[in-house]
Amino acid sequence: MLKPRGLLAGYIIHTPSGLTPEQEQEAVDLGPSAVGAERSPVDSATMAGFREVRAKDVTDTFLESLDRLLSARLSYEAQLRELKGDEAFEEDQADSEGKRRGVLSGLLKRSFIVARK
Amino acid sequence: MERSGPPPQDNFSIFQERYAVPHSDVALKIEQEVFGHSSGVDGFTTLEEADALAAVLDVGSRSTVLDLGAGRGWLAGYIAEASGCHVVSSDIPTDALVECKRRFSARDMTGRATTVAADARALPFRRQGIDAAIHSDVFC
Repeated sequence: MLKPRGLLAGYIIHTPSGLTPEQEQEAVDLGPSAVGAERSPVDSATMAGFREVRAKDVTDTFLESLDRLLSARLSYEAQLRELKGDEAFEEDQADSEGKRRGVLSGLLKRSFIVARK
Repeated sequence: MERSGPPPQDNFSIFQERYAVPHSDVALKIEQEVFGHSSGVDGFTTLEEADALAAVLDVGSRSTVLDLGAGRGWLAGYIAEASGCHVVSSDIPTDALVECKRRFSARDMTGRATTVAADARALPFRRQGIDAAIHSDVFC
């Protein structure tokens, strides 16, 4: 699909290398359900035949965004509860809090991956 | 690896449901405050991160960029406006792609912006037809 020298680039939430199976499960429970993987995004791109695979850790920015998102939702809590209902509001907050705990526990990372075909 | 507990709803159903509901004005306000843009997205890409992505792509008006898991098309539209490239927004939820198409039309981009309902595991593009492929927090 990609032309020769074409780029694949994007942002991905993933687990770090070296987690135990229990830690991987915890990461899946805290983060996006598709976060569990056998290989790192860099290794996956390399095994798929991409070269010049580079990764930049943007987890700090991700954590800041999660903090701001949780805080912003609280500042609009009454409106959000009225619009979406209590259950949906609390689910959204719990989902973001889970991701935040995952990052702070070292179980979740977010990276900017660039790979060339 | 699946989440602990009862069998989860599959990702495709989750996102089909999510994109069937447009973002509220409050949600858009929150998105603007947190990420610097109000595009009705569900990922975590900030405006600065979108700029960093646009900078590495090195594409122009003769290039075609494919956005995998494009959702409502914010990132593809941003890259297209920044670079002048053609974009193809690919995803499965049709409600997302309908909104994506509406946004491209509103920005007068229909001549160089396309939507495709496709699973990223089986994309309907010819060999070597894409200059760059982008993605952002797919399945997040």
